[in-house]
Amino acid sequence: MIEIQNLRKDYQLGGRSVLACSVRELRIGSGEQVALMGRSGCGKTTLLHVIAGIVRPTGGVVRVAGTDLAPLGESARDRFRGRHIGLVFQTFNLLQPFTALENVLLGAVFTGQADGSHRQRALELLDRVGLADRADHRPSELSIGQQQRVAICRALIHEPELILADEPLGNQDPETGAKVLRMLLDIAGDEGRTVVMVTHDPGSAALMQRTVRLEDLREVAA
Amino acid sequence: MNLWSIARRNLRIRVLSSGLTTVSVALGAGLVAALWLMIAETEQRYRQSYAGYQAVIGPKEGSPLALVLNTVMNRGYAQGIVPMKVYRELHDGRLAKRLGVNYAIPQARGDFYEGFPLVGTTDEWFTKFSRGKDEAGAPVRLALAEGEAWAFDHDAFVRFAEDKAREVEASLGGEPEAAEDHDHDGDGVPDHAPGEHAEPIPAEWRKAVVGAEVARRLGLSVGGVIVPVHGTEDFEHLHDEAASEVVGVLAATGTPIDSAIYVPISMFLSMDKHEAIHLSSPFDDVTADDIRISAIVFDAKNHLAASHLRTEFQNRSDAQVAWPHVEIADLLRLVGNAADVLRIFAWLVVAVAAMGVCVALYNTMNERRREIAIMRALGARRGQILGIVVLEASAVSALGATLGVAFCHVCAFSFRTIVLERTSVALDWAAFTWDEAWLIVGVTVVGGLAGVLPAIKGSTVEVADHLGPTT
Ligand SMILES: Nc1ncnc2c1ncn2[C@@H]1O[C@H](COP(=O)(O)OP(=O)(O)OP(=O)(O)O)[C@@H](O)[C@H]1O
Ligand SMILES: [Mg+2]
Repeated sequence: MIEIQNLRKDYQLGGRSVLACSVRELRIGSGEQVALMGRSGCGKTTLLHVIAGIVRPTGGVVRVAGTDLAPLGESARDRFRGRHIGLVFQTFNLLQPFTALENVLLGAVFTGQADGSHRQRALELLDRVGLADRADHRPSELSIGQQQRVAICRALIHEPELILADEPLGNQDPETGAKVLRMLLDIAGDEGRTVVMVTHDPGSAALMQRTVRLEDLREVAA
Repeated sequence: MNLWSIARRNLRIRVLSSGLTTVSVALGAGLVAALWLMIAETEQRYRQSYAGYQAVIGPKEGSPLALVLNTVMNRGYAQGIVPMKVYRELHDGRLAKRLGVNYAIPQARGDFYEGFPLVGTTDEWFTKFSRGKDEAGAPVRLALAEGEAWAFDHDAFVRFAEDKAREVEASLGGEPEAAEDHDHDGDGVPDHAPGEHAEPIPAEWRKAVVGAEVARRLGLSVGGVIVPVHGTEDFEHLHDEAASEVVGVLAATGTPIDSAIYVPISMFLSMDKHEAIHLSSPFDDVTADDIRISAIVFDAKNHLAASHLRTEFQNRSDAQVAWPHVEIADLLRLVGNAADVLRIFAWLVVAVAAMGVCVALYNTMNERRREIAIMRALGARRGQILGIVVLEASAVSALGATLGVAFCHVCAFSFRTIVLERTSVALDWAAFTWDEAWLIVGVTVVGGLAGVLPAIKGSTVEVADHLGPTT
């Protein structure tokens, strides 16, 4: 599902080059559930953004779901992301003006038409995370845990092969966090989707099949 | 759910801003629509006004425009006189036969009642004059809303003219009367021409048919009485002897015809101070051909009759021919220039409103960066973000333009009576035109273009920078 080789991402800051992320080699198979760990600032978020095609690497090969991202233009990467990747952010990032159901559908709007079948799937997903009766509520009317569940549904709505989650349990009490994470892993597992999740919490990482420490992947400075 | 529903939702959460921009667009579009409506109505009215007047024949003095304004539009004063000879040529003489005349109707002008002109004419005005053809192909005659028309036909006019000529001839041959005998009001000016006897005007001539506008404004109806006033502001003379009874009220035509009073031409020419006879030379015999009238309204079967007439009268000294449709088209061109200036102003208001759309959206782009970054992360392309913002701009503009046009029609509906009274323009408030459809389309496109700048700003948001935890 993911193949990375000799990846580098540098940022130019005031004429100085800052290395944000560096990976010598990383392979994640289809259907795997992987925890990505590492100390703050080591480049976990940057790596997820590279895999999602949001950020273009400075160098190296990134192959996701059989697609080499390096030569793709911006809109092709947007389309690729819309089609193959589901994203869950640390802050869930639900859009306030839209209801829970609409927020879920937003995950499908930009690549297909969020048509009747998507609507059906959105309602099923919401039902599965126990929010069937909250479909018409705005994010501000939901608890943090409920918002997070909506965000998970949004990442799953368009049936992506790969789900990328960046500290989705950030500000949660461990109990709620674990519950929500199990829901995500359950659904992803049932549907055979690959999950890569950034986390600082060893307990959460323990729920995943495999843990990768980003520091270990670092290219030895040549 | 699609881009459009996202755009709509974005507009709805910024109700105040969206509402105000919509109103400003509505104002601009409404102004344009209102102007169009007024201009269209005015032009329509002018065009209607010359229906039935293939040509007007009037005095050699003055311009063709003045002749048309006076005869067709009831504006200004008669510029001079035409001898009856010309009228008879056109009515049943040489020219009438050659051109296949439909009607040649005489007019005598110069008096007013409460500011409305009196037109002395024959009853062919009611029986022959036609404002075009209806769907069935029948001529559209002047209809009476109330009462009936007086009777005074062409033959009666000819008899009147002959009597008058004899009378004048006799008085010229006999003892000249002292001028003082005719100066009843002692102003040094004879009250009637030598030879004219201050005989009472027969009651059957003292009858009037008033136009719809005259009736409405003056509250006249059958049985009312009008007393003509002679001429200009500095010399006004009340014709008590010509007090006439209103016998009929014309149905409204929406043309200047509504704004005049029609009386038998004999009555008109019998009034004090109206010199019925024009002496071309003191040595000639006075004949009916010397009776003076103001103009002749002419229509013929021959479509080229108007130009034939023009050629015919070019070399004659007794009358000139004017083409109402040409003169009025010239006039409209003048109005058109003024209208163009107004149009430019109206479009400027639209342009300012479009700038308002641009600024309002541009200002929201900063607060929307995060939301845009999220949509981009969910797979939205730059073009789609651009599309959403442009859609918002277009939607506000389309809504504004539609409201503006609708508002313009509501205004036309509510002011139709006042406008009718002040300008006698009958606003067709319910008629939506293609121009208005295009106006809405145009404003929508212009508004959409105004959305491009904020859209570009929105679509260039750096996605990765705005996805993290809110600070
Ligand atoms: N847009 C940017 N411009 C410059 N430097 C950046 C940018 N984004 C990230 N960096 C730098 O790259 C490094 C890696 O950042 P990143 O956000 O990937 O870390 P992280 O592992 O996700 O940290 P955390 O666990 O705190 O979220 C950091 O030193 C950061 O300052
Ligand atoms: Mg991070």
